[in-house]
Amino acid sequence: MRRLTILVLMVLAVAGWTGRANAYSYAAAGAEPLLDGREALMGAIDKGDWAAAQTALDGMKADLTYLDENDDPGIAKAFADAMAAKDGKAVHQALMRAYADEIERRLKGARDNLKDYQTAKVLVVKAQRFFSAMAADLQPDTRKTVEDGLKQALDAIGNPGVFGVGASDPDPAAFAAAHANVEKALKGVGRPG
Amino acid sequence: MSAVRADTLLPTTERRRPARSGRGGQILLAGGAGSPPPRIETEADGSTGHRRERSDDGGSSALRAATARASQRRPTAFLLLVGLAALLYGALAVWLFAHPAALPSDDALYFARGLMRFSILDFSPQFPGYPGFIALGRLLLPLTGGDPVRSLFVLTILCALALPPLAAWTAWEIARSRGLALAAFLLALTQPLLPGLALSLLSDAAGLAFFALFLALLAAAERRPRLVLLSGLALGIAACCRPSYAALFAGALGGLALTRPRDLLPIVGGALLVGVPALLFLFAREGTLLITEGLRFTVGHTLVWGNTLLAPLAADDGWLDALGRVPFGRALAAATLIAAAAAAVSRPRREPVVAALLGAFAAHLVWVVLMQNPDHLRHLAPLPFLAAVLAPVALAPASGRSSTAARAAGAIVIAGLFALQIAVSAATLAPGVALAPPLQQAARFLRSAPSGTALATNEGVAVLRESLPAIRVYDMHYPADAAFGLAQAPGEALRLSTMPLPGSRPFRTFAARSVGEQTLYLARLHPGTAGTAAAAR
Repeated sequence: MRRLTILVLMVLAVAGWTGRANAYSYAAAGAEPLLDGREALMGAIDKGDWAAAQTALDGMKADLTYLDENDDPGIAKAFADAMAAKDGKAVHQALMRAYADEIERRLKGARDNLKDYQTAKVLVVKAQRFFSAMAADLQPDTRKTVEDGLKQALDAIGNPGVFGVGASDPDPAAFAAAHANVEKALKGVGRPG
Repeated sequence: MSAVRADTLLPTTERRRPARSGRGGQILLAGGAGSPPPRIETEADGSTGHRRERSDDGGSSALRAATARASQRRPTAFLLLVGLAALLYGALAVWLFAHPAALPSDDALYFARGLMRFSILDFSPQFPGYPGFIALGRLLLPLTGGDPVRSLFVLTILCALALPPLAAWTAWEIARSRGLALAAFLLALTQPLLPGLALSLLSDAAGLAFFALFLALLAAAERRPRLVLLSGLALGIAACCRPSYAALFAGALGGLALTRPRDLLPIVGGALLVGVPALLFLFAREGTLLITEGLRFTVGHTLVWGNTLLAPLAADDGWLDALGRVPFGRALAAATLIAAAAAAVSRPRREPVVAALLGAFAAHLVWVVLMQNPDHLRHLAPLPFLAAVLAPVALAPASGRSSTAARAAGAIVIAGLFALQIAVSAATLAPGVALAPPLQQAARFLRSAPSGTALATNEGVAVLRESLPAIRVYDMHYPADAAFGLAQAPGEALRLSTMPLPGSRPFRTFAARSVGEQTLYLARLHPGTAGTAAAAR
């Protein structure tokens, strides 16, 4: 009994330690610095504490650099300029732009992995998490289009069923249509003009 | 083996024929009200080799005997009571079904989504998936025209309405007294959390109903041993409906392990017959991501957003404060604890079903205090339900050792519990009105708000976003982000909270329908106050 108690405590300790880092993540699986750091960033800006804001932004640096180099050249500069000008609204806009980039990036990943249900699903669900974080700040029609598009994308990745029962194949055409709708709706979000 | 067979609990009027022991095959003759004190013997159980105790019960409770005599001499009085209970039960059913089928919370929305497309990762429903509850809801879909909200509505009401008869059945199987069974029925029927469970569209009522079925079958298995496996199946369904009642289930099994461990094998086996296919289903759908999401959800609920005792950012007020906000709430909680304590004191220690009831009560109490959110009183629901069985059972002492004073004290506990439940219900229910949930009342009001209006809320973010596409809905779990959004909104900035904002008067209130729900307050935020809006929940 004593050994069992010790074993249970050890499992709980390990679970707590490993899980705590991601505990407050919007992410379905794994940390998402752009989402996890948002509250700290906006809180610091709200208080006018730009040093704390820079610290929060530093936590996002790796993801922003990746986006800048692969998907959206200029996104890192948008953040840097906003921080230099101590312009909270501009930082928020840059964050919206980064989220739109992330949604697009995850949908592209899902498109390329449609044959792998679990991977495609995680990517679409992660896109949904980014959408959920920015939804309130979108225009109503944009919000509706993106929400519907992500739901359609989730349906289009198919379903393995339960041991094959009720399975449905992925639908690349439906996925492409949903992806295109989301991409069109998010175009220009967080960008000046 | 139990110290006292349930057979020996037969009231005087029902002890004319010998009752056959369910397990050992012994014939136990019960004594009458005037019999000498009990004789406790220990002998070998022929079938298992275990030691078992046998008792000739020489005593019976005052209430049980009085009820039995009353039912013999004045059957019409007992029938009248039964008729009144049936009338109350019918009235409750009609009142519950008169409510609109509407989503009261985000979790209910996730369940409704889960009926149409099961995906835990996508919050359809939330972790751990509640496969039993989803399966039951899906079974009802053809009867509700494919409407998932109505399916959940019907399911939760039916499960909540099953609780009083199941409490009565359990009490009957333990005490063999119609009067005490009726008392259990009435105590379960009048528990103030019952309407909230019925109208929540959540898994609590289903989990509790199948757990109640498990207890009733376990009690009935005293006479019909084959029912033990069936009770395990019921426990398995309960676990699949409401996995977060794990402590409740473990407590019941723990009580059983201490008193009649040989029943554990068929019960756990029966539960696994349901649980293993359900787990396979979950893994088939989600793969190993189920574990990742489970870890994230469990740790997050416990340490971050669940407002538990273990969360570093938990609100200052806990369960005592939450109960204090309900009229007579603390008194009722005390009476509920006393009822369980009375059963623990008055019943023999090795009576399996009572041990299971007490184990479940103690384990769930600890679980709720440590791991549940005091904002949601429905988490307490298993405790008054268990007390509804334990209080009458406490009045049917099996050993005959209880004094007249103890029996009188037991009767006072039942009367007090009943009176307090009625008082809480009377103070919190609006029986003449069948309102929509507070969240839907708010959504209906906000539907006319102009585009550009911004709303920050802790409650029902997903429901409000879905039903109010024209306005910006911010999640107050991220207060800095919400405050920024409210400050930037082109229209009016509003705050929906479960408590009035400090320094601000709500201009609209959306009333709770029962004690399990929270009234919502809508306030206007003036420029510069958005940041402080996080102060209220």
